[in-house]
Parts: sequence; structure tokens; C-alpha cells
Amino acid sequence: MNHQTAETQDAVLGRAAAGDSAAFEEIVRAHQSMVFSVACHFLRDPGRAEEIAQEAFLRLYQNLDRIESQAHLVQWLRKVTWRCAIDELRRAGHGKETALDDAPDPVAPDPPGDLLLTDRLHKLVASLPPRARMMVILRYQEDLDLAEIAKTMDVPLNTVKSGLSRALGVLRQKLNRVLGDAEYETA
Amino acid sequence: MKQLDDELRNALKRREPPPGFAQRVMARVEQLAEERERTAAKPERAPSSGWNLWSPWSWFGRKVSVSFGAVAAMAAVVLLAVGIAFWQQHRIEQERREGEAARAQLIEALRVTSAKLNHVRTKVRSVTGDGSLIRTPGGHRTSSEPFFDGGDEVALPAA
Repeated sequence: MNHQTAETQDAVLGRAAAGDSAAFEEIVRAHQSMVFSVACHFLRDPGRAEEIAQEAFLRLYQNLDRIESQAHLVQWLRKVTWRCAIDELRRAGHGKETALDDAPDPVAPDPPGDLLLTDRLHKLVASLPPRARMMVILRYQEDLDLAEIAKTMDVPLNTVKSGLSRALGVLRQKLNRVLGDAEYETA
Repeated sequence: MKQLDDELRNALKRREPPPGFAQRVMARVEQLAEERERTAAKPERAPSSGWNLWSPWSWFGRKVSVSFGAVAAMAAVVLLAVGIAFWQQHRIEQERREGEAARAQLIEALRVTSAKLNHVRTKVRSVTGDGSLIRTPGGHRTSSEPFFDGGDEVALPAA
């Protein structure tokens, strides 16, 4: 994002905060894929993910006057999406934190192959406990560094470091177990 | 050797929401805005003439709204306190009156007893002449023995 774009987006934010619904719709369109994807990868349910994404944008509409800048807006949306998603998980009764090692393997293993790898990874990520799952999503979908993840999830930096490291270890181990001979490493 | 990081980035790519997502969000936003406007446009209550208990009070510059329940509870507490004070006062007054009556009765009883005793002494003196002791052979005192050595009347407490 260059300086000019950021300035334009801040202007759109200002208009939306002043009550311009077209400007708000522009904001929704600009960030809908980010918000929807975080919720969808976390919940693995597009219907519930859309509900969460709509809720996040409604909360944004109600708090537009608190948003200071474009960067603040993006970070605020990620944080609210995480909170809405974890609340949804708790409401549905699946929000209990389980140990990473106790996370179940995906059921009915498919034959290995590159075409199935993405689906396999989705299932493996979905099998992680909620906090570890969100750390992985924010790291690899949103390309956030550890400090940004900690800020978004309101947890200490060391928690993110250890949580992400363990989550990746478990993912690598399970992926190797499922795919057999392939060796996966993280950078 | 494959990199898990790359595979995860590929698997967790952003995806677009279902078509019409933005319109659905905007519909809900408009609904919310209408609700806000309705709430904001609600007419304020007309100021009442006289003192209205249920309208917000202004205490030290702050608006304080008082509910019916709170007023009823306060009234009940005040009535209870006044009732207890009256009952306590009545009980103290009654005890004082009973005490005075008992005192008067005691004084009256003493007066009657004194009069009787004096009468008996007078009688005894008239029988013995000098008021000397009459003793039985066993040494017991008889009814003619004077009750008061000095022979004076019993001094009664002031009524």
C-alpha cells in the first residue's frame, strides 16, 4: 500500500465515520475477503463464517468514530473477527481448549497427492485447538509477524512464539504421518 | 524437501465471500441506522406541572430517575421507623404509669399497716397500764408485747 492509497483510504474512513454509507460499503468491499477468510478458515463453515464476518462489519459500523487510521482499521477488524469467531465456537460448544498433542487426526485419510494436500492441510489446521489455529491462520493467511499476532489476539508475545512453534510441530508430524514418506519442514 | 510454510500459505489463501455479501452487510447496517434514528427521534416527555415522582430528578446537577418500587420501599421504611418510635414511647410511658401506681399502692399499704399497729399498741397499753412485758412461762413473747420500743408512731414515707 503506497502513501497515496493510504491517504485515500483514510479519507474514505473519514467519510464513513461522518455517515456516508457508500464510503462504508467501500470499506466492506475492501476488507470482506480478509474478514471472511479468517472466519472461514477458523470455523471451516462458510455459512457461519459469513455470519461472523457480517457481525464484525456491524461492530465496525457502530465503532467507526474510534478508528484512527487505515492500519488501525485492519487490525481492529482482525481482532473483532477473532473474538466473534471464538465466541461462536464457544456458543456451539466446541471452544474447549485441548492440548495440541491431543488434537485428533483428520478422519478417513485420502490417498496422498498434491491436489489433496490443500484439503488435508485445512483439516489438520481445523483439528488444532482454537488459539493455536488462529495463530496459524494469522501467520499464514494474513502474513503477520509474531508481535502483530500477539497484539491481535491480546496474548503475550512468548505465548505466540511457543504456541505457533508447537502448532507447526504438530502439523508437520501429523502431515508426515498421513502422507508417509514426505518430509515437511518449516522455514 | 517441501516447505510446510509454503504449503500453509497456499492452503490458507484468502477467499472471497459468497456473492452479495457486501449488500447483505449494508442491508443490516441500514436496518441498524433506522433503529438508531427511531430511538433518537422518540419524543421527550412533556414537563409536568407540579412534582412528578416518576420523572427524572435533578440532584446536585445530576438527573436521577426514581422508580415506583424505590419510592414505595422508602415510604415503607419511614413508616416502620415512625411506628417503632411511637410504640417505644408508649411502652416507656406505660411502664412509668405502672410504677407510679405500684408506689402509691405500697405507700397506702404502709399507711394502713401503721394505723393498725398504732391501734394495737394503744390497746396493749391500755391493758397493761405501763406497757411492761408479759411473758409466758416458756419465755415466749405474747401478743401484749409492744412492737415498738420507743412507743412512737411509725414514721411514714412522704406520699
